[in-house]
Amino acid sequence: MARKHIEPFVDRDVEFKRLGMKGIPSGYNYKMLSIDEDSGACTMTVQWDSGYRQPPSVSYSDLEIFIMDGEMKVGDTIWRKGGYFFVPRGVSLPAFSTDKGCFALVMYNDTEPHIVESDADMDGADRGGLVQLATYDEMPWQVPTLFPQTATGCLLKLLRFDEKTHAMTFLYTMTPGFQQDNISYHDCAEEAYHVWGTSWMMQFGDLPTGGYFWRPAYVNHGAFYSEHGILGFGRTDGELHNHFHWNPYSNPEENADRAAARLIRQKPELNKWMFTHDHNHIDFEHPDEQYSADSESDRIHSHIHEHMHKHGIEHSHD
Amino acid sequence: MSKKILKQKPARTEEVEKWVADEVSEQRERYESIAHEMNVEIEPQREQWYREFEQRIQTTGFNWHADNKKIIKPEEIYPKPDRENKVVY
Repeated sequence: MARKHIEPFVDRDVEFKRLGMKGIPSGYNYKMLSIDEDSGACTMTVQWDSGYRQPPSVSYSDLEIFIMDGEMKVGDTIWRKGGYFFVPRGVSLPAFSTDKGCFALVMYNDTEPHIVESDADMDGADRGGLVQLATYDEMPWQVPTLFPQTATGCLLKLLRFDEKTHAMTFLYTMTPGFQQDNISYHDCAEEAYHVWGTSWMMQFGDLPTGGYFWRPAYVNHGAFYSEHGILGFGRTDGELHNHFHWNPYSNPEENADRAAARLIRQKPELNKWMFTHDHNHIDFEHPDEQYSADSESDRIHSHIHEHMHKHGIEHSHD
Repeated sequence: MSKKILKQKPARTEEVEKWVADEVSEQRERYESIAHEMNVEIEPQREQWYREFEQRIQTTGFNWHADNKKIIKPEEIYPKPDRENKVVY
């Protein structure tokens, strides 16, 4: 996900545009929240007009949809607020339509938006990876079990978890009066949208309803406070570990160095294995996929490394 | 398996290339505006927020895990480095 650090952005500040590309039915309106400059992968708020009709379709990209208002009929089922879909590449999504209109987050994870009319899955599509959840009705709020943990009053609903990368899609809430006095960063990129409510972060100020960020790895955020509480939708592209500290001036390179030093302290044997063996790391669970130090570095760190170059931040390549 | 599907995607048409280029251009403008607002315009306000945070972690404490807190000593407060402070990269 080579995207710009967009934080904060409030979609209420811009107008909807028509998505008018070939193959896209009329009535598909969008606000771009962030886009990968290379692949065209993007996150959008979308308003499908009342009367919108879309035929059965597939996509070359993984696709996520989260309904925030209105309703959408998918096949024979009507989905309302809180409806969530993860549609793997090549899996056919039944015809969908809306009589009342539908307001949603839409995420194309690999490519620019497109629709290929088809009522059949593509060869090799992972239908078992299809996720369909009525998140407001069927799922209880969970206390995060991360260690170290967020303060009391931050709760999660885990919508999707990638077993290979530990990337997550989740709903989160801060209860009224939530406060956490630390600064955090993660080894992964993080993205979030405020479905409702306002929270404050010490670096960026208030993020209100419609507020959004796409934040690269190792960027400081927090302390945190929310007077009236929030409901948010979030995603990461890797494992979300809370690196807490209290240095407001540390930069991403210093934070990454600190994370690496912690890895060496906390998992010394793994560190030795990774860096004293000049070979690919074969995962016996996934023997067709090779994981070398380079490929892991590419996956996790390329976005922040690219940002360092773009913005002239001095750093080492050792 | 499904990465093979991604590799089968046809090349972008001119229309799609233009759409992506337009969106990327708009995002770059937005990024510059956000970076200026965050890194420059609200910096004095943020410095005040930093001082208030430092005061809280020396009195009510720093959340090192969940609601577990520890009091930070004055000598543990990080000095401001001799460089421009940035929060958007």
